Amino acid sequence: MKMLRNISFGQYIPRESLIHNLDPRIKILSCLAIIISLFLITEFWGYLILGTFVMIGIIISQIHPKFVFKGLRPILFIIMFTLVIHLFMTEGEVLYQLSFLKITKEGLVKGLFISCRLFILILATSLLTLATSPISLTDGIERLLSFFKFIGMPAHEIAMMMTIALRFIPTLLEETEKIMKAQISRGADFDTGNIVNRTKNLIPILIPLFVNAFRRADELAIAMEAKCYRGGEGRTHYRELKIRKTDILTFALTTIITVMVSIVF
Amino acid sequence: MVSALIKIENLCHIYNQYKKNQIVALENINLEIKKGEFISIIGSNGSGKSTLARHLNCLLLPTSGNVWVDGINTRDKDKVWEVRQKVGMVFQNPDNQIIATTVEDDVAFGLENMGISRTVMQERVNWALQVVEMEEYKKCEPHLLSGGQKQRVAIAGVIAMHSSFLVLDEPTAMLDPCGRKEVIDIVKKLNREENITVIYITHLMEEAAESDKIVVLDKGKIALIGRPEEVFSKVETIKKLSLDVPQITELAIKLNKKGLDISPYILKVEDMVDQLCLFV
Amino acid sequence: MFIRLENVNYTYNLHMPFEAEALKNINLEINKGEFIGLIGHTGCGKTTLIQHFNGLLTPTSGKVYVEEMDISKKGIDLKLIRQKVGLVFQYPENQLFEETIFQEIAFGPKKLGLSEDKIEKRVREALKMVDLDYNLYAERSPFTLSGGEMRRVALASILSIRPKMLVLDEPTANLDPQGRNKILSAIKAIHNDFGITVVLVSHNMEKVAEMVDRLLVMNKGEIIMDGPPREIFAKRADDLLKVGLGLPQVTQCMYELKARGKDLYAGVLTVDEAGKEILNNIKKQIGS
Repeated sequence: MKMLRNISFGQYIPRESLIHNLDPRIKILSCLAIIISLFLITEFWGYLILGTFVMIGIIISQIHPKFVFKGLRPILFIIMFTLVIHLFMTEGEVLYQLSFLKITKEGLVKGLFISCRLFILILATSLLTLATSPISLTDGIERLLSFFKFIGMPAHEIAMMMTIALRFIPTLLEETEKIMKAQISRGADFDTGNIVNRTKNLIPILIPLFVNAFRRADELAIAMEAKCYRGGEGRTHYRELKIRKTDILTFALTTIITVMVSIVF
Repeated sequence: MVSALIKIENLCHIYNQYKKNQIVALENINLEIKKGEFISIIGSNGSGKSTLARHLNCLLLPTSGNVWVDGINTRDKDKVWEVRQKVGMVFQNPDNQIIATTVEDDVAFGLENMGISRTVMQERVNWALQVVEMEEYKKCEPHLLSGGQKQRVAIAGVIAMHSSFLVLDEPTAMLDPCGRKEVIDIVKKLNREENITVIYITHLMEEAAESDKIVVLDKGKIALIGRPEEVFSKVETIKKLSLDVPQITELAIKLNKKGLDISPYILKVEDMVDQLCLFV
Repeated sequence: MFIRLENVNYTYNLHMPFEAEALKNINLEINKGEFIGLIGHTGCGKTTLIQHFNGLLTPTSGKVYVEEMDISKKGIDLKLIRQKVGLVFQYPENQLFEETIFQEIAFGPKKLGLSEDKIEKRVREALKMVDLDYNLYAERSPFTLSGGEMRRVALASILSIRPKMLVLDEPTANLDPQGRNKILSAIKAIHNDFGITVVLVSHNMEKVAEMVDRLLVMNKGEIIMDGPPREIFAKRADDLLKVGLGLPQVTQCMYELKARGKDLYAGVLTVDEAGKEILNNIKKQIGS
């Protein structure tokens, strides 16, 4: 828990790289383009090209691949699970049989195909979150969502909520640790018991935490009003988002690759 | 040209009026705050000091009576934002007034709300951080700062808005002695060098000792008002109001009563030492 | 001997990027019935130290003994230790969660497995110790109270487990003078009437000095002074000021007069003591 306090929240790893310095909107849209084309591709070659493209991006970002693969670990289970399901559940030409379990050629191909898709999906989104600071991402999302203001999309409000959440996560984690220690000091036990007991034992942490969070929200709202906050109308931005040549080129490159790959493969 | 001032006229504030749990928080408050003044409002919990503070920037409106800020009546709905720009407020909890993920973004928050242009914002943010001596923490994340540093950031956020009044509602209550000193030093600096009018709310006497005028509230009414020396010399009244008198002042009064020729109006240890040197 | 720390060192995030040494070679003995004040800057290690008293933290090296039991050994029932050593953190009102004050104070005894009758007895006892009327408070929600009252309820919820030692981290933080005096008198009474060993961590030199028999001063993870407050103020005021800790105002006054060559005793703790010392000095001069 203490370690969490010292490191910035989120996967973000600061570096001075081309990828890091790209406009977050471009990065988000590029990531989306890659994800969409992942679902349109029907042949392995497509995945090979896209996968290589993303790996090149990772190299340019100067982030050590070990951080990227760290992000894959939690998903590894899902990928394995998907692979196994497809291996054994698809009908077709049987390659190997172990009593009632059949591994088919079609199953193998399909399983590997979907695993590749997931793999590259995680790589692309990891690259996005590793190379873009949370506040930058929030800015990017807000600007992109504001295109939809005309249909009533509360872009500013969503961005404000995200910013406040990011700001308070470390603080609330600290608070949780304090509450846990206080309750342990008067006999609370969070380690023993079955699932039902352990959930009940969380009440002495959750209630104070919620009360605390609500009180903070109240005080924060008053502080915001005192600083003339009145919603998104008429607000200016301290942080600048500028589209530069590199952004345009990167976006063009990504679009071309993803469109071509989706069409050809 | 009316000199910057706050005028409080027969102010009454009742919470939950006409309901069972009605509380009269303020009763008939009359007070004038002049430009450049450093005024402290002290009182125990429930005396109404926070309620009074919130009337100064339209967070609360009077149940009866009026509050005028630079000639604007706080009841004027169209002028709320103008009042809030003039009267900046810093609250007690250092964490619950920092909203952004970095120091400079938080200082810019008020300016963004006011629709200030980016170039002006950048100038003001840099200036404000310089005044509160936090420039090197510009890109820092707030949860890594100490309490005193967080309060300084909050103060920077207010002065960046070019407020002419700075209201601080028990800003050091949750800080350690180091943090307290940081905050008080910056506030005194702002009052002296930037001529910002300071309204400082506290229950700590040593802090109030630094001001030009002290207003003591008790159960919503003004119990004492005057210069620090005058107010503190009324030790018995202060103690009856469940407030403290600085140890050194109490000692001065005690020795004075016993016939020693020293002033009963001593607030600082140095002054006491200087005076006692003549006798011991 | 109630608690003994032998060569205790503690490092946060050992072997990791943000490693930080918080306690260095702590050797400390706390005896039954003592009333100890623990003073030091934020970050000097006070909170880390007290968390070793009830096993929330175990030393990186060194040993902690509670009633001669080595609490860093495997298999030690820490629940037992936590019943003996009650820790009250800063802003303890943040731990309140039950529907009624009764249930809140009953939380600890319930976890100890006591019977309903015993629990009620403990709740009544604890409320009395913090000067709150059982009939007025027991059935109320803890969230309807003032800050000072909530804090006293939180204190009661530790007292109900009948600890032999009470450790309080800044019990007067953010309380107005009235609230502060109420809780300090409760703590004083707890020590005097029940013989509970008390360790009081505080920044408020003036109040702490008046109440405690023994003062522990910490700086950068080490205990640099250990003795009766008067002695420390009389002999080591220089060192206190050097590490940036203040003295009570009256003590500071006497210290500075002494520094200017005046024949005065600097070990005063209260206004009355200072007054007496000054007047005696003047009488002596007039006499001579």
